[in-house]
Amino acid sequence: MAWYRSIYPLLVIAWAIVFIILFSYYCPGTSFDIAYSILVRWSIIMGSVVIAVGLINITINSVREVKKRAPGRWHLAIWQLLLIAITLISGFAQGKGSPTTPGTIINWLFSNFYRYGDLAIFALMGFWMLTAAFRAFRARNLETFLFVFGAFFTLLRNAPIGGLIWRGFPVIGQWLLSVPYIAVQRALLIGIGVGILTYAARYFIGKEKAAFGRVE
Amino acid sequence: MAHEQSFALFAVFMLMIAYGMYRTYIKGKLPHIRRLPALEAIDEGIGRALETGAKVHFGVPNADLARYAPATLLALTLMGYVAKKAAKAGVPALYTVSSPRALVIAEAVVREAYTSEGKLEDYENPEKVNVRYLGMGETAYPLALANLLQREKIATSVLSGFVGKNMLFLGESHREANTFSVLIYPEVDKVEFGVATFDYVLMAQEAYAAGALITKDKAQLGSIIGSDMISWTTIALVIVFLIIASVLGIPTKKFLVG
Repeated sequence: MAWYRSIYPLLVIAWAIVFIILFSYYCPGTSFDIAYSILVRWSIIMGSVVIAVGLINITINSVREVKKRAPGRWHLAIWQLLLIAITLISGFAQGKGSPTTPGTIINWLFSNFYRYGDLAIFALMGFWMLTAAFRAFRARNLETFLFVFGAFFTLLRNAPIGGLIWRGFPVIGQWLLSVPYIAVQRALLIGIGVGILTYAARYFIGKEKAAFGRVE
Repeated sequence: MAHEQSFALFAVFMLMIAYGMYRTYIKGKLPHIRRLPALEAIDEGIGRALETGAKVHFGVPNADLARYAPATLLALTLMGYVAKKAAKAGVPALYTVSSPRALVIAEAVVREAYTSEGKLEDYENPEKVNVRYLGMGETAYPLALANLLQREKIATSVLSGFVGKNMLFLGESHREANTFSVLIYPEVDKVEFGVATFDYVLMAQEAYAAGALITKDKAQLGSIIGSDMISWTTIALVIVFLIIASVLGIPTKKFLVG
């Protein structure tokens, strides 16, 4: 494989970026800060360009489903394509300004369709979560028993009726939240930090290749 | 903590990882690593998909390369692993992401995996392999995935990356669709719901170790030794500062910064 198609040129660029970010953090007030802010601006621009890739992917998949007449999906795919077209046209017609600018078509679409649809669907998801919680709260083994035990006291801590039944419920619930829960949470967070460090080390030496679109 | 102390700690930890890699890569001392049932479950899941003729799914919810970069990149590494296994077994597969930025990398990773297994024609056939962007936001991806699980014939689904508040919903969606589910979660938020609803879970530090384990590469396995050394050092430091704070009555922050 030619050197320019190998992982090394990408790795050198990644190293340069990582060193700029590290130095801007550890040596504040130097020119690395300026380089860092330029990099952040570039990443925002590139991120915006890449959104087009998502749009193309979603369009290709929707068109494919319409062509195949995929049962139960093709009419939804048409609906999706239509919504994409409406949003795109209204965005381009608006010209300057952001979607949050009041009085624009895209803002009207966002406030009157997207926001309420999103809220309605999230409310529906709430019912599904309730059934999931019901299943999860069945004590099948020791782990799930401990889960139910903790959840029972935490629920009675938060529900006003808990304190009315017995004054000890909120006390036990609070202790569970502020002592064992926090201790476990912090231990896991430290572990995650260590995991990220080792991942970064593997990335530095070019062993973790997924970020470059490669596999081991 | 002052920047100098933070940098010193960072440098020491990096040196520990480097030592771990040196021990395995140069000296050839491979560490003993216990079984990770969730990783073995991926192979079992692919086998199950092969037997039933159904699909394998790999999903990256909240694939944010800025806020959750390590979790997302790890998920993409694991996506490559699952793609290679699926390509080798000839199982139809579906890969979903929730961000266009991650989609670009996901497409490259899956393509490379199929190419390395000599199955590029499978990658080019949308009936066999499909890399899909399911939409951004807190509700779009979980809902779209729940829909796919109901409509497509998916035998096994592996989720990796940051999930957060939709954990219970996603776990329940898999159970509703009777899909064998594996969660590789390198985060801590709502992990308890993942443990309660998914069939197999690999969480926190173990998930990062899995990224090294799947490669069987000596240097990568060495990084696990380094990571263990850092963990033990951290535990020792916590105990030391606990004693200093409770016996000598000096708060840790005052002791470190002055």
